[in-house]
Amino acid sequence: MTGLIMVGGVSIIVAVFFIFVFIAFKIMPLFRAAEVSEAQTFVVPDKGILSFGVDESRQMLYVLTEAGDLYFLPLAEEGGEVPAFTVDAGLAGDFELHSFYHDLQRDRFVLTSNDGRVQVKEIRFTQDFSGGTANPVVRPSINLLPEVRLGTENRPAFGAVYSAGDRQRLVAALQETGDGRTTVRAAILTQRRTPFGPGPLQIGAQADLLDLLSGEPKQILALGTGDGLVVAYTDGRIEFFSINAQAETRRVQGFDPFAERTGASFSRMEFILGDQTIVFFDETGYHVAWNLAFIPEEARRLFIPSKTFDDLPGPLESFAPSRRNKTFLVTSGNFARLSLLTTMATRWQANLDFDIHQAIIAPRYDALIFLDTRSRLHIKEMVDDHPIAGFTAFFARIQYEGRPGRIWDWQSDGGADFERKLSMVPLMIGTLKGTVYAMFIAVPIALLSAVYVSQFLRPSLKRVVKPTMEIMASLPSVILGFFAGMWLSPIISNAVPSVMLAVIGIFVGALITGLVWTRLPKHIRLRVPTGWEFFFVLGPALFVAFLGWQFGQVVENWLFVQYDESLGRDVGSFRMWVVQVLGWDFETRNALVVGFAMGFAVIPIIFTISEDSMSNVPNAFRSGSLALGASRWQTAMRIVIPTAAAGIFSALMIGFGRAIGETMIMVMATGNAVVQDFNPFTGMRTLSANIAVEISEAEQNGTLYRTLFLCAFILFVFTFTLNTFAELLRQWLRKRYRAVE
Amino acid sequence: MSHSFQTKVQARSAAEKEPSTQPDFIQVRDFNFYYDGHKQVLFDLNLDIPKQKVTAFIGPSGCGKSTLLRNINRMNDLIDGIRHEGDITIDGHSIFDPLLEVISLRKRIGMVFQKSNPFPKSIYENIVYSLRVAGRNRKAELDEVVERSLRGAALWEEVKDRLQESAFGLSGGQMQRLCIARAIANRPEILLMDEPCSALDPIATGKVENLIHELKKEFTIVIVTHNMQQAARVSDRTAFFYLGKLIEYDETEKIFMNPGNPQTEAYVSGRFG
Ligand SMILES: Nc1ncnc2c1ncn2[C@@H]1O[C@H](COP(=O)(O)OP(=O)(O)OP(=O)(O)O)[C@@H](O)[C@H]1O
Ligand SMILES: [Mg+2]
Repeated sequence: MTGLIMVGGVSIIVAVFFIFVFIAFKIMPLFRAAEVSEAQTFVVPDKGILSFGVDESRQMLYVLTEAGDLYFLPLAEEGGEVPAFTVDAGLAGDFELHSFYHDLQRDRFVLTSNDGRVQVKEIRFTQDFSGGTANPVVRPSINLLPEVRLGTENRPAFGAVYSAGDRQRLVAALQETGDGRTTVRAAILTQRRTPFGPGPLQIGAQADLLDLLSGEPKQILALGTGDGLVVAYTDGRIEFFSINAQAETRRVQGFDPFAERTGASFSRMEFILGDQTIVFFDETGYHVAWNLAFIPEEARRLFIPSKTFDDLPGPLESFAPSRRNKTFLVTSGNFARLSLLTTMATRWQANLDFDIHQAIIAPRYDALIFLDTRSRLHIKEMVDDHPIAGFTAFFARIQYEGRPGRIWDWQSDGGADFERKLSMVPLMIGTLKGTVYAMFIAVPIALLSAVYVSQFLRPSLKRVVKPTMEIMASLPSVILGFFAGMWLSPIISNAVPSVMLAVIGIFVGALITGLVWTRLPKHIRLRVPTGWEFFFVLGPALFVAFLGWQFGQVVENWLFVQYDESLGRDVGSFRMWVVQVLGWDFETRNALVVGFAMGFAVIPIIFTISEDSMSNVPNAFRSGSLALGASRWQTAMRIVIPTAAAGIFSALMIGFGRAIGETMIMVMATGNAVVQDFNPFTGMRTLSANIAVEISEAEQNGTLYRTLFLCAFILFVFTFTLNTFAELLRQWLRKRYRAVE
Repeated sequence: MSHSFQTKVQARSAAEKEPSTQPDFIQVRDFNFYYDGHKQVLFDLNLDIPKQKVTAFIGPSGCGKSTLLRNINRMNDLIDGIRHEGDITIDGHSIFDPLLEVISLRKRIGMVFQKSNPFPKSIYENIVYSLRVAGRNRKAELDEVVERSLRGAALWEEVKDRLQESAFGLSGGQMQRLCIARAIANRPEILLMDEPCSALDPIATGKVENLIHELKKEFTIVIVTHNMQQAARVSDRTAFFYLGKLIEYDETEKIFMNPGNPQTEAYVSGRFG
């Protein structure tokens, strides 16, 4: 028999340990850096390569040569020379290539000529799976946009950019002027809609920013929306201009990203995926990121400083953003580093054994590809499944794109224009909030009733009350959550003062009746049999609570009068008062509702266990105390509760554990919005509810999937620490109030 | 009349007691007692217990000695479904008077249980418990009460250096004497003892018996015991119960030397069922 118990106990410990290990294994990959393998090397023909890119399936390279030609290089076998072919007619005879801009996110070259023309070439790959092999046949093609001629002087243009926003398309470039200065010229491209689809692109209004510029421009970038230009001056200052469909240009903002570095001079700036953030490099390898953010005071989007990265060992030579996530690859000499914008984390870095001419991140974020200065191509396979995860992402305040300020936030569905936000902190706060409100309501009620039932109620009534409570404990929480969300939340939210007054009314009513009771003449008082007093208190208490409920409306119409715009008159509304006067948020499914519903789930547990432990206090103690002339209340307070302290404490802890892990009530009775405050009128998102809500979105072994395991792990750690601490305290209490054997 | 009783209670607990002129301090009259509404365990008891004497209740197990004892301080009130007929008076006042508060009754009556039941508190706090619940918290007074009660229970010398330690650290005999000290701390008039020595060894028993001799100078003591020698040694009067009925009640000497009832004789001489 004891052997059986041993086996049972040990296997429980083993099972818990196994779960722990399992969860730990699931979350470990989140904290791994990128793994980059040894390189696979190809020799590419030396045609004077300016820049290269690669298709999705990494079968075909495309390169731009100094002569302005585009070549395609199928990557077949390692080591061998790669044959080159072209599908490009090349540049028109009079287009002398002066500069290029390679948009790696979109496989697009923006080329400029010596006489002020701009050409945009977009490389397209089609994948043909008809061959039946795993690897499709890749067929390249080139899309040539209409040529734009900037200005009228036919002077050399350089640093051209092209942006195709949803509403506006923009071509812009730097151009020399006759008097030796440099200006910025921009042209709007228009496209008419025809019944047969979009018509051909046409060149619309043009702008010359010369009068707006405040220095010698060195590089420009066009916002992804096509309605803004960022101009960098040689001295490192940046100016941000807006441009509309009529090519009217206005200066929006000016700033200096290198203000902290004296004497720094500008070298380059590039967008990160999503075109919300620009990384600025100076000539020493120092680089910082600024992102667009909506500034409420200004009611518009401006650039604000967001991130600083570790310096590169030397000046930047090559930059490549990922088109999958917000990482970017930078190189200097033989040094290469893969950084993540969001957390500023270095995913990988190394000194390679060749000098890097250019490096790119493979489109699927599964390899890093380097072209060295001796025309050799090195492909390094990479495994980095969870680039955005990590301690910083989970626990630190982060400045996200789009809004100012460093915050903790959870928003699992990220994308190009939307950073994934995976902070555990608001979920932990939400968990604590839900638990605190639940305990706030449950503990006084449960403990007081346990004291009452165990110490004062007639045993015959107790035999009815206890099983009732136990049935309550077995109510499925989904039912409680359903009731709370559907029925209770509108009632509570529409009548907060009534609810408050009713709750206060119960206590006040009970207290007043109690006072009146003690003042009653003895001959009335002593006629009520011991243990039945409850019913003489219950009636008046309920009556006062009812009065409180009724009076709530009066109070609302009296103290909380607010002007209702939709009705056009003053109304008494506590809800509007909270929003307008206190400036707090108010949700229908809020922490109060959760408190009540969770209270329902937790009260029976705390009640049952603490009532048991109080009833289990040896009767000898009780009769000893009573025989010494103590009242029942004194006996309860001085003898029973201290002796049962360990059990009462366990009850609280088990209730706490239930509240912390409770899921269905949380999911159903709150709006599950991520909050970080303890406002009673907003809901919360708890760790457990988060798992339940997000589980359907989580792709197996994906970042979200593992992050949900992290939620579970934190919950586990929460309860584990809590229980350990509680057990220690309980042991101490038990020793202190040990009953005599 | 209830008033006079009340004031007397208060006056007594504070002031020294003057010897009562009334010999029959506790009077039990035509007393019937029922558990669970109908299960009668005491039948038509009539019994006078004199002041500042030791009265012993003896009788076979289950005959109702404890039930009668617990009625005297109304500890039976805690039990559901009890009922009684007849009356018990102390100093001429009924303890069942609806206008009498049980708490003030119990303050006049100390009780020592069969199994020692110190509270899970320090020795000191155990003793002063009855004062604290009466709202008396003056340190000087408490200190004085602790010493007096412990001396009264012949325990002072043994524990005076460890008053703040847990009462559970005491031996069984010490614990029982602690419970006696606790019962007399608030100077009750009556001390009820339900088999106080049944869990003790002969030496500890001896100490408690000596103690009872001392205590009867001050208190009216009622003791339930199964030990005939003990009854003979400590008590002045002895009542013999059988099946809920009072069979014989007389001077202890008479009961043991010359019982008037054959059942009594059989019981005290150990020839009983
Ligand atoms: N709480 C109770 N409910 C019902 N019956 C009880 C209760 N307490 C005692 N009795 C019954 O009342 C009778 C008298 O019990 P009591 O404890 O007074 O006997 P006693 O003389 O003290 O016996 P002992 O010498 O064994 O202590 C017994 O038959 C017992 O079963
Ligand atoms: Mg007994």
